[in-house]
Amino acid sequence: MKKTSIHTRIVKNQLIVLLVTIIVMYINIYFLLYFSLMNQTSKYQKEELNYINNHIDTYFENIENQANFINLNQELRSFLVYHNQLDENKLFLDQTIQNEISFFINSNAPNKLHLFNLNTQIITDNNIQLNTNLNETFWYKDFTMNQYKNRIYRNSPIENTNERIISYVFGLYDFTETSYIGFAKFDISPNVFKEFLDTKIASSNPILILDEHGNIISSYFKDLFLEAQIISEISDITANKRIKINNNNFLINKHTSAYTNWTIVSSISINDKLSYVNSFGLMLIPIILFILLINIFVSYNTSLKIVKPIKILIESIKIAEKGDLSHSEISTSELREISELSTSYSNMITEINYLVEKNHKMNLLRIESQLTALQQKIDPHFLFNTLELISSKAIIEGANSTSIMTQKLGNLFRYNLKTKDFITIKEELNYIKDYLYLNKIGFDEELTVLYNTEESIFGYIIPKLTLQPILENTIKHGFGGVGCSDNIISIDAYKDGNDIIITIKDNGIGMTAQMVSELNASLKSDINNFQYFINRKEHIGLRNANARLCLLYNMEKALFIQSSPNKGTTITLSFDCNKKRREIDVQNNDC
Amino acid sequence: MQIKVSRYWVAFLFMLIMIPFVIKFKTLNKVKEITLSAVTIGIESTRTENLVSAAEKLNEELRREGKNIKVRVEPYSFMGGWEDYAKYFIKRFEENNAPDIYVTGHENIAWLAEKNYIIKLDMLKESKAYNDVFGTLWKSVMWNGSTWGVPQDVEVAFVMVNVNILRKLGWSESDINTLPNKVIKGDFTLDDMTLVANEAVDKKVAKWGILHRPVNGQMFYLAQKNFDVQVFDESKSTIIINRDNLLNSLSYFYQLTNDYQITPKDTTLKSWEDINQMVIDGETLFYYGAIWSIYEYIKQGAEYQELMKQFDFMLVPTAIKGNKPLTISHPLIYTVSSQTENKELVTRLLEIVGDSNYQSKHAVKTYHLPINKSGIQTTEFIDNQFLNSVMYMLDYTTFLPNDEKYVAYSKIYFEAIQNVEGNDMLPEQALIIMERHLRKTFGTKIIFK
Repeated sequence: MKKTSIHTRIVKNQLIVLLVTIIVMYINIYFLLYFSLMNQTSKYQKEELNYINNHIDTYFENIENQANFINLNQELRSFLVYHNQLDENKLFLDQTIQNEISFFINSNAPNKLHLFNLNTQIITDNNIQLNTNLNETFWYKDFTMNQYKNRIYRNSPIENTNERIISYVFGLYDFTETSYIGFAKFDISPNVFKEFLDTKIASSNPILILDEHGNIISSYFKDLFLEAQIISEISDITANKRIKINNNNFLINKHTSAYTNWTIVSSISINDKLSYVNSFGLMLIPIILFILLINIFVSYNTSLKIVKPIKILIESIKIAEKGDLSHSEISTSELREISELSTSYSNMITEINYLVEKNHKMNLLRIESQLTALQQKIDPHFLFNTLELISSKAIIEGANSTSIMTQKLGNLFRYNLKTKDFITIKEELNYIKDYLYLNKIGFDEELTVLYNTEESIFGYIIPKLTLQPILENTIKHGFGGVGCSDNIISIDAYKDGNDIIITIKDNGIGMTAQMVSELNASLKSDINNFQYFINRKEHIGLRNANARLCLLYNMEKALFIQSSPNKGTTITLSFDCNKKRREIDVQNNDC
Repeated sequence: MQIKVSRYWVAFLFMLIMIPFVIKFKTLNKVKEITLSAVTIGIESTRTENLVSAAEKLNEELRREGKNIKVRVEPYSFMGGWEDYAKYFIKRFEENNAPDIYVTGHENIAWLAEKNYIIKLDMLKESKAYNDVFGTLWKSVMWNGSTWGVPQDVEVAFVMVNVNILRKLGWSESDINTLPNKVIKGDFTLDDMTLVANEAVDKKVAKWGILHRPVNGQMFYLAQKNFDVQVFDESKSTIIINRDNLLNSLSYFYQLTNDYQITPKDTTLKSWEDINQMVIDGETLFYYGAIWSIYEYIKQGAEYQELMKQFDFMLVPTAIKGNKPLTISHPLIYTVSSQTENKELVTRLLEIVGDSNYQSKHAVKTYHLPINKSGIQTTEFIDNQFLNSVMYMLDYTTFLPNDEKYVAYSKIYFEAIQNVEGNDMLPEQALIIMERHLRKTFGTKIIFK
C-alpha cells in the first residue's frame, strides 16, 4: 500500500473538498439567482402591470368623477329634461350652465366633453355640432341598446392615420337616477392618452394594451413578430407564460382591468435578464480561483506547521530507537497539540534517561557490593556455626570478651548477608555499634565512641551500609589504624524539621583544605555525572554512601565534609525525609 | 341564651357585609338611560317621531350587544319661522344645551358648519342605510368638501291650479289636462298665467288670480330665479345680480298687486291659516304652493279627495320665453350638534332612521318625497297617486346654494317684494334700496351687472 504524507494528504483533501464545495455552491447560487431573478422579474412585471392598470383605471375614474359631477348639476339636468320633449335638431347650452361646467367644456380641457340630450348634441361655445346623426352613431346605439351606465368606445381611425379617439360615454340620469336624460361623451385624443401612458410606462419594458376585443389600443413593442404572437395567444396567456422566438425566451404576463375590461400585457426577455446571471457567473471565476490559491497556500502552510515538528519528532524517535536517548531536544511549535506532543516526548525521554541512569547506577552499586561481599563469601552456616562454637569455647575457657567479640562479629556477618538494600537508621546504628566494638578491641580499648541519637529518627530508611564506610574511613584514615587513648568518635543523630541529620565526628589527623574541597566537589559531581563517579576510584566508600542516599532521597548531595589538619573531621549526613522516592519499595516506609 | 345572641350578631354582621355587594350588583345591572334631544320645525312631527321609533330599534341592537344602555329620544317641534328657529338653536348652543339632532334646511349647513355648531357626517354617507340616496341630495348637504348632514326628506314647489275656476272660464277638460304639459314645453309662460289669472278676476270667477305664501321662503328664491336675477359663483362665493332681471322680478310682484290687483297687497301680512283657507275655499285660481301644502290643508280641515278634484299641479311656468319651467326643492336634513356627548349613538340612530320605511312613512304622511331609490319603491309611496304624479317635477328642480349669504339675500329680496306689493315703493325704488342693502351686507361679495 502506497503511503502518502500527511502534508500531501491535507493539501489534496482540502483542495478536493474546496473544489466540490465551490462547484456545489456555484450551482446552487446559479439556480438560486436564476429562480430569484425569475420570481423578481415576474413580481416586478405584475407590479408594473398593476401600476399601469391602476393609473389607467384612475385616469378613467377621474373622468367618471367629472361625469358624476356633471350629472349632479341640477340646472343641466333640468335643461336636458326640458329640451328632450322639444325634439330639437340644434341645441345650445345655456350660458349659465356653461359657466357652471366651464372647467369640463373649455377648449383647454384634456378630454373634450360632448353633451347630448336624447335627441341631439348640445352645442357649447367651444364645440361645434358633430356632423353625424346621433341615432346612427355606433356608441349611441350600443349604449342605449345595452342600457350601459358608462362605456369606453374606440372610434374609427382618424383620417390618414391609424390612431383612434377613445370615447368614454356616460349616461346622464334624471333626478331619481332611473332613466337616461342625456349623455356625456369624453373624447380622449390619441396623443393625450399616449402622453399619459408615456409617463407611466418605462420605455425599456414592452407593454401592449388591448381592448376587450383584442384590438390594440397602445403598443410599446418593437418586436412586431412577438406582438403578433402574443395577440394570437392572448386568451391562452396565463401567469408567467413563456414564449420562445428565435432562441430568445420571453416571460409574458397580463392583467385585465375589471373597470375598463382592457388587457395590459407585459413582455420581458428572459435571455436579457439571464445575461446578468451569466456575467455574474463569469465574474465569480477569478474570485473562485483566487480563493483556491489562498486555500492552497493556507492549507500548505498549516499542514507544514503540523508536519514539520512531527518530522523532527520522528527523527528524534528514530535516534532513540537506535539507543541514543540523549537526543530529547525538539523544536517548539505554535500548535498546541503538536507542542504538547513534543513536550511529552521530551519529558518521556528525560524520564527514560533518568530511570536508565538510576537503574544503571543502582546495578553498578549492587554489583560492587556483591563483588565485595563475594570476595569475602564463605558459607554462612559454616561461618556462623564456627563463630558460635568459638564463643562457647571462649565462655567455657573463661574468655568472656572473646565470646562477645565472636558474637559481635557474627552480627556483622549476619547484617551483611541481609538481602534488603534499605534498612532503618536503628538497624544501621546497631550494625555500626558492633563494628566499632570490634575496632575498639582492635585498638586495645583506646577508642572512645560517644552516641547521641534521638529515637524518633530510628524508623527512617537509609541504604544499607551507609554509615559503616564512613566510620571505616575515620578509623582507617583519621586515626591511621592505630589506637590511642585520645581517639574519640562522636555520633549524633537527630531530626531538624524535615531534615534527618547524622554527624560523625572524630579527632583524627584531619584533611587539608584542598582535599576537603575536592572531596566535597567530588560528592556533588557524582550524582550528576555518573561516568565521573565510575571513573574515580578514591574515597569510594564515602562516595558510594553519598550516591545511594542521594538516589533514595532525590537530592544532589547527602554528605558534607568538614576537616582541618590535626583537628579531626566531621562528616555530616543529611537528607529531607519527605523527598524519598516513592518507587523505592522498603519495608519500613515511615516517612 | 348566650348562643342565641351570638347568632343574631353573626346574621347582622353578614347582612352588613353583603350590603355593598348588593348595591354594586344593582348598579351593575342598572340600565343607563341616555336621552338624545331632537328638534324640528313645523307640524311634520314624523321627522322626530321617526327618531323615537328608531331609538327602539337601536335599543334592541344595544341589548343584543350586551350594553346596559337605553336610548330615549326627546323630540321637540318648533313652531315658528325659519329665522326664529335658527335663533332658538343658537341660544340653546350658547347655553351649552344644544339638541343632539337638529333638523334644518340644507342651506343652513354653511353657517352651521363654519361656526362649528355641527359635526361632519361623512361616515353616514358611506353607510348602508344611505347608499341609495339620490345623488343630487348629497350635493345639497355638502359644504367645503365635506358632508354635514343627512337628507331627511325632499319636496317640490309647484303652482296649484284651481280647475273649477278654469272650467268657469270656459276651459275644456282637454285644455285643463294639457296645461301642465304646456308649462313643461314652455308654451304656457308666467305672463300667460298672469293673464289667465287676471281674466278670472275680471270675470269674477275667482276672487284672486294668484296667491303666494305669506312669509319668506324658497318660493321667492324660485321667483327671482325664474327671472334669471342672479347666479352664484361658487368658486368666488359671490352673488352676481343682473339688475334688469331683478327689476323685472320686482315688477312682476308689483303688477300682481297693483297693476292687475290679482294678488292681495297684504299677502305678506296674512297668516298661514288665512292663506291656506283662501286656497281651500277656492278664492284663487293659482297658488304658489308645494306638495306639503296638501298636508297643511288636510290639517286645516280640507278633504284630500276634494283637494285632488279641485286642483291640478304644474311646474312654475317660465318667466322668460324659451327658458325651462322650474320648481325648487328644499331638502330638510338631520344635523348633529358639536355639543353632543353621544356622537356614536346619534350616528347609529340616524343610520337606522335612514331606512326607507321610516322615510316613506314620513313622506306619505306629510306629503313629501322620499330621499332614496328604495323609498320610492315602497308600497306606501307607490300607492300615493298624488305624490307619484309630481315626482317628475324633481327633474326641473333647483336648490338654494349652500352659502350663508343666501339667508340674508332672500330676506332682503323678500323685504323688497313686501315693499312693491304693498305699493310702498315702485319696483325701481325697491331695486335701489335693495342694491344698497345688499352692497352694505355683502360688500365685494355681491356684483351688480
